[in-house]
Amino acid sequence: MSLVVVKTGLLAQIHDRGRYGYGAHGLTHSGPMDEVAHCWANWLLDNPLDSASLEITYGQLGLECQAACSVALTGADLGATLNGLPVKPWRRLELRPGDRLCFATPVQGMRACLALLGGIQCKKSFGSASTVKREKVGGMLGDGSAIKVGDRIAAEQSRPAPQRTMPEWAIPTYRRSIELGLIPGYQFTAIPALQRALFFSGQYRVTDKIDRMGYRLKGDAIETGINGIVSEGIALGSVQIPSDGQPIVLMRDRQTIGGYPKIGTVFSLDLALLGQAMPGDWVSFKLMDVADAENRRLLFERNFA
Amino acid sequence: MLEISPVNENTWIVYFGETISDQVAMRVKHFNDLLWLSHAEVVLDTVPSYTSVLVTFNLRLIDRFAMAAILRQAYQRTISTELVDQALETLVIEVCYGIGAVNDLEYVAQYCGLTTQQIIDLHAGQSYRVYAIGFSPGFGFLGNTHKSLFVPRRKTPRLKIPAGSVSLADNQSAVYPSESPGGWQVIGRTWQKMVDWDSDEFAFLKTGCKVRFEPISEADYLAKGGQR
Repeated sequence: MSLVVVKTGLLAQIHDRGRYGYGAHGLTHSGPMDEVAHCWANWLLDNPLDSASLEITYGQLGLECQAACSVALTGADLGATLNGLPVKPWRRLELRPGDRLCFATPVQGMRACLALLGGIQCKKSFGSASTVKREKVGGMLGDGSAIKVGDRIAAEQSRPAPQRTMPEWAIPTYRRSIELGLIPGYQFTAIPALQRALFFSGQYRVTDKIDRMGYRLKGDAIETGINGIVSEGIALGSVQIPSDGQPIVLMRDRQTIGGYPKIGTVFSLDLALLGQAMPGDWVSFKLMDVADAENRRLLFERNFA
Repeated sequence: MLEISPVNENTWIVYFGETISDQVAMRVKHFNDLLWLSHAEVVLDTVPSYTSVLVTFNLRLIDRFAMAAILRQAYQRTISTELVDQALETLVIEVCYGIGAVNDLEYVAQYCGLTTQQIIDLHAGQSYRVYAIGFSPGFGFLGNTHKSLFVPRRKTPRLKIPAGSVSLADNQSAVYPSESPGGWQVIGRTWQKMVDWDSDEFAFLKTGCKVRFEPISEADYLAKGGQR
C-alpha cells in the first residue's frame, strides 16, 4: 500500500481538513484548497473525511507504485496518465507494483486531489497533517515541507476497497469565469453603498499573485473610505480591500488576524471553486444570505453522512 | 457595547467595543477562556484580538442561533464578573539589550532623542498587555509602549530577524518567536522560547496576559543559552 515520488512538480502537499483550536496562538487553519475534491476523494475510498490526502498543484508530479494500492483521484484534470495512458479524475484507481501515475499540466482546474485507501500516513502536528510551509507544521514529517523525490507515501491502514463511483451530478466543471457567493459581514455596512454596488457589478481578473494564503484580484478599485481597522480575526474566505482598492480573497493558509477592511466572506464551497482558478480567469461576486450558506453547507455535509 | 455579527455559515465575530483598552483586553481574554471552558465541544476555534473574538463553531453539532445564544450568555457572564487584573500573573521576559548584528538600539535612541540606557529603562520600566497574537505563530502584540519610545517600522523590512528578537514599532513591542522576515526595530534579544513546538500549550504569551521585560547582562544571556 505505498507510492514513491519519482518526480516533484510545482507543489504537492499533504492535507487533511485542517488544524483547529490554535487560532489564539496564531496558527492558521490550513486544509485543502479544494475541500469538495478532498471530501469526495476520501468518500470514494470510504475513508474518514479528515484523512490526509495529497494536494497536487499545477501537475508535473510523478508517482510509482511500490505495493498494490487503491487510490482516488478528484479535483483538477492535470493531464494525468497511468503507465502513459490518460486517466480522467473523479474515480478510483487500482495500482499495481511498478505502475506509474504521472501528472502533466492543467487541462481544467489547477489542483488535483489524490487520496489513498486508509488515508496517507504522516506525522500530525497540533492535531493535523495539513502542511503550512511558513509555520513549519504538517506534511509527511510534520515540519511543513512539501512532497519531494524519494518520499514514500504509504497508507495508514489496509482494508478492501469499497465499490463506489462518483454520482455524475457531484462532479464539478471548472470554468474560466466563476461567480462566488459573498456573505456580507465585517465592515460591509461601513463601505459606501455605491462602492459596494461597484464591487458586485464588477468583473475581477485573477492575477498571478495567488497562493494558499490569498488570491489577489484585479478590477475596478473599491474605495472603502476606511483607513484601517483595529486588527481582528480573519475567517476563511474573507475579502480584504486594501488601500489600492483591489480585493484579496483570503484562503486556507491566511494570516489569523489583520487590520485591512473586509467587505464580507466568500461562501466556503464557492471558495473551493476559486481554489481551482488560474491567473487570467474571471471572478464576480453575488450577495449571499448567511442562511443560504448554512443550508448549502448542510446539504453538502449530508452527502458524506 | 456587545455586537455579535455573522461572518460566514460557521463563524461569528463578537465585538467588545471600538477602543483599545486594558478593560476591553481583559474582557476579551475572560470571554475566550469561558468559551473554551464551557463549550469546547461545539467551538472549533477562536481568534481573540484587541477588541474582538472570532468564533468558528461546528455546524454539524450546533446551528447559528444556538451558538449566538451561547455567545450572548458568555458575554453576560463576562461583564457581570469583576475583573481583577492583579489575579493575572505577569510574565517576565529577560532581555539582553543591544546584542547581536541585527540591532537597531542605537538608531532607536537617535530617533527618539534619548540615550540607549534611557531606551532600556523606559522599555523595561513598565508592564505591557498582550493585545493580540498573530502575524506568525506565537507573535504577541504588546502595548502600549511609553510615548517617548514611539518609532516607525523600518522602511525596508529585514529578510531575517533572529528568534527571540525584542522589537518596537509604533506604540507596540513584540518578541519574534521564530526567525522570520520583519520590519520592526530590534532593540534586544531574549534567550527564552516564545513557542514550544512540542507542547500543546505552544505559545508563551496569551492574549490578555501582562508582560514585563527584565534587562540581563550579556554574560547571563549567553549562560542561559542565548545566541549571538
